[in-house]
Amino acid sequence: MLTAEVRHGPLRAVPAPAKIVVVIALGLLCAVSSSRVLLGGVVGLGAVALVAARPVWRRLGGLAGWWAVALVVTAGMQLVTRDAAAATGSVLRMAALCLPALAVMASTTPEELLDVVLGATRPLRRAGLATHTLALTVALTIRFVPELVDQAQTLRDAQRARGLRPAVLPVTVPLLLRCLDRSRTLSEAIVARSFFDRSEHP
Amino acid sequence: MNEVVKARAVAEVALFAALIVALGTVPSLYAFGLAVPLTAQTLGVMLAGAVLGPKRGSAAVAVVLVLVMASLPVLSGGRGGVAVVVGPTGGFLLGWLPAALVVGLVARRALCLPTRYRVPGLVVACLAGGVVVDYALGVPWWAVVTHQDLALTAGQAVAFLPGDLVKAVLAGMAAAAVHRQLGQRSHDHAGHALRGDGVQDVAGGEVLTEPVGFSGAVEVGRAGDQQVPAGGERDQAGDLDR
Amino acid sequence: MTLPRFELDDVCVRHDGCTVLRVDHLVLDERRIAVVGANGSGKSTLLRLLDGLVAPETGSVRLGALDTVRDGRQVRQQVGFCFQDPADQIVMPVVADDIAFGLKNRGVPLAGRDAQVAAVLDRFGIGHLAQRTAATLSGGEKQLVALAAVLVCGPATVLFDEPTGTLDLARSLRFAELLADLDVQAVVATHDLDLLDGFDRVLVLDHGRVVADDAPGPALTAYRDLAVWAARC
Repeated sequence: MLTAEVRHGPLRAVPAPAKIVVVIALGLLCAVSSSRVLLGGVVGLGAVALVAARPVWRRLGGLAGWWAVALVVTAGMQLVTRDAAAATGSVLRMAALCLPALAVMASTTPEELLDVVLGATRPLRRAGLATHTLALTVALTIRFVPELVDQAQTLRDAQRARGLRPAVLPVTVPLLLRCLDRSRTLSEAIVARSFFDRSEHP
Repeated sequence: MNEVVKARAVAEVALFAALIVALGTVPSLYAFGLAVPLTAQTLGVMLAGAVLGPKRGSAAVAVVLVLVMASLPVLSGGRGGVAVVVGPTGGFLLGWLPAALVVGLVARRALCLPTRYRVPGLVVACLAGGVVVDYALGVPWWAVVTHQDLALTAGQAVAFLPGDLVKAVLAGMAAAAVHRQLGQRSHDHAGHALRGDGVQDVAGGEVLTEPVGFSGAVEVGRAGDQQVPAGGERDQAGDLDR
Repeated sequence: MTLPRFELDDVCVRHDGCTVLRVDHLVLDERRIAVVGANGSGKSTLLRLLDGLVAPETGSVRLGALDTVRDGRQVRQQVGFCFQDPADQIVMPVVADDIAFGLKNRGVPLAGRDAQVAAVLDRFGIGHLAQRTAATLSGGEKQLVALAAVLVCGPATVLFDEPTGTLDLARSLRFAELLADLDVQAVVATHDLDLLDGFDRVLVLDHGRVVADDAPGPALTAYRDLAVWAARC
């Protein structure tokens, strides 16, 4: 899940933390600003960055498509309920928010982004957050997603075999109970494998 | 043992985060004999709060958000990345965090109610967090991103309300079923009646601050849904407080 | 070679007011030790006491001079635990990372880790699984990965909780062979009586107490008598 195709380009050289900060800063700026000039500028910048990032559309296509649909629908609604000026405003703002974000996603691997996000939580150590524990939690989550999907599928198939349409409760309730069961043995395994015996945990 | 308790928190948070992601991947599920299928991911968010409690439930959501920010395709439809967060549904997504917190806080109260009020209580908990809080954050953000006025956006949001209301009801019912199974297991083991204080588990060092062990059937599922299988080797849930 | 020596002294473990396990005095220092008994007899608890996963309410559990509660860290360096469902102890998404997990926790630097992981994978003939995700493994493969992950840390003792519980006959036999070749002390909680060929000592537990403690032959006779009696009641 963490491996993803990212092509070489000028944006690859920019460190991931910088890219994330820029996207968030631009995002906040464009969210509050109504200046056509500013928004237009960011759209232009974002488009250039996205092209420069040489996106792998297999990876980003779904998301870009979803954005495009949202954009078209919103513009349509604005045209119907208000006027062309309002519609343009919506399109500009949405594009200004979307393009830089897509550019960053196209030019950064999930692993790098994960490092940035986990690294950003390091200051929270003072508030009691153990970053190694967070890293383990994230890894465990990624580890168990496919197993849970399989279990859900088995439960759905069991429903089908009885001639029923797969329903929410008969699938989610057993799944929940198994998760709670599993968390018990899993917690013993984490301790048995010396996770809390590391030198960072005094 | 203190370490096993800490590890239990890690394990529960991770498994529920994985559950939220997995529920976004599983194809649609049906409910109440309706013809329209639902995607169960937001159900997972509400369940995290209702089953694990406010702290661990919102921690599970936080882990999912970390994965989203790392642009992993964990949201339903295989979406992920900072582009979703800055998008029209970004507010609903970030709103999951306070939503799970609120669901957990209200669920804690709901579990102190007499048996027949538990399911409605848990449904109210899921509505409070999963609908009220989430929409309170999601709708304004949506309006800001799309540059529409709030009223128009709220009008658009109403279209999603019926589905989310159904999900909140289902989440409440599912959480009630889970707590009932856990309560029965604990009841079998120790014959505890309703208690408001802590139960120390020497083997696991758990402290359960919720009353457990209630009798009385809770109607789970309808329209031909199979009954939840009786609990075998079930353990006590992590308490709704740590 | 001197084998590790576990000593339980006046140990009592309780859960929700019930006594789960009660042992007055027990010394375990043989090479192959089995613990048999019905579900709920206390075998899993006994195993977990040896690793410091469970703390006794009274008394003490020692590994040599180490106390399993006070010196848990050192005890766990020397004792590995294989759980009934290997999926429950595989923690990392990728096999190689999971095997390295225990080494990382023990402070082994990266270069050393890679070498040791490769070595243990080769030893079990599962080198081809190194970059696979855990979820794609079969049950038998998961068990090997879980065992490899435990053995790579070089424990002197490995505790097995129902290792053949989820396996079919062929796999169980293969596991028995694997177990016979392992150069560690093994304490195995099991229902699978065929596994006990070649064991040095068998403890029979019933309702939290050791009711028989002998060589496999006599101990299993006692276990069978117990089971017959229980079935009649």
